[in-house]
Amino acid sequence: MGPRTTVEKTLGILALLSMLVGSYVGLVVVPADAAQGDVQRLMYVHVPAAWLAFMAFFIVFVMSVLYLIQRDARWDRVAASSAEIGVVFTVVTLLLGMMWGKPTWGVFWTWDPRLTTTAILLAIYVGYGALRSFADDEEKRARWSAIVGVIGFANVPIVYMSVTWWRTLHQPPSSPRSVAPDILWTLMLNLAAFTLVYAYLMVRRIRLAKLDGELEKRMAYNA
Amino acid sequence: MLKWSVVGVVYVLALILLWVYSGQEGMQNRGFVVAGYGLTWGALLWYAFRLESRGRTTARAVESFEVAGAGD
Repeated sequence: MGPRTTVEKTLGILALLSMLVGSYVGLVVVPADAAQGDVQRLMYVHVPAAWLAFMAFFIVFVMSVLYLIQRDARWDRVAASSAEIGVVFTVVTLLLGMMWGKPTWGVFWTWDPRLTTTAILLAIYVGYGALRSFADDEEKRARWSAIVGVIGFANVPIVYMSVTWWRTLHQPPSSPRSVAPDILWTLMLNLAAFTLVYAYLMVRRIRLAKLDGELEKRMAYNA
Repeated sequence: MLKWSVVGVVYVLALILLWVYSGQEGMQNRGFVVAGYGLTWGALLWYAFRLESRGRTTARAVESFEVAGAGD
């Protein structure tokens, strides 16, 4: 993939350091929640992972729209990269939810609206990745992926609103007014750390996508 | 490859340290908390290294075409 540029190195170091600080503050510095105890510390990684998954899929949506308008392969590469990283964050979100669910709800998994819609979200973007691997033609692959990227995003607001629209075990969205200052700033710190991780992974994944494109061209030329 | 091993060892040591610390502090549900943070770090590190590994493999494949082209 080639050596990292100074910007990539700086981004990588910042992402790592901020994750270390975020985890340290979440696990050691901030006091345990009065109601849930220590298990609430999982919120400092669960919520940022979920937000970043949403943001990753929003980027897929925007890039897919841009691709459908301009037919520029760069937008397709960014969309594909963001979708893959979004899948990683969604898996982390679901696993962390299970870790938090068992001690608080008594089960790792239940077909609750928030959990079910999140599982559907994961299936949509895993399907997006599968679709990309099935299509050989670059233009067709980009067009089909962009259509899935636009339609698939419709599930993101459904996941977000699921706790409001239906009766659910999952707690409703919190606001800065409903959260103690210690919890809020720890959450914001971890959100910043996860955003840096997303940015770093995106830069590297887009580089890989460019390289994949180059390889495909050479293989087609030699075929 | 070496980087993978070093990071792997540091990761396991950090998990052990967290396990011991949380035990000393009397953290409730420590198994879930440690597993949750461990999963998060593990998944993100695994993906970051996987990207690098895929990048190296693809770069080698691209280079092999360049070498083949130079020989023609």
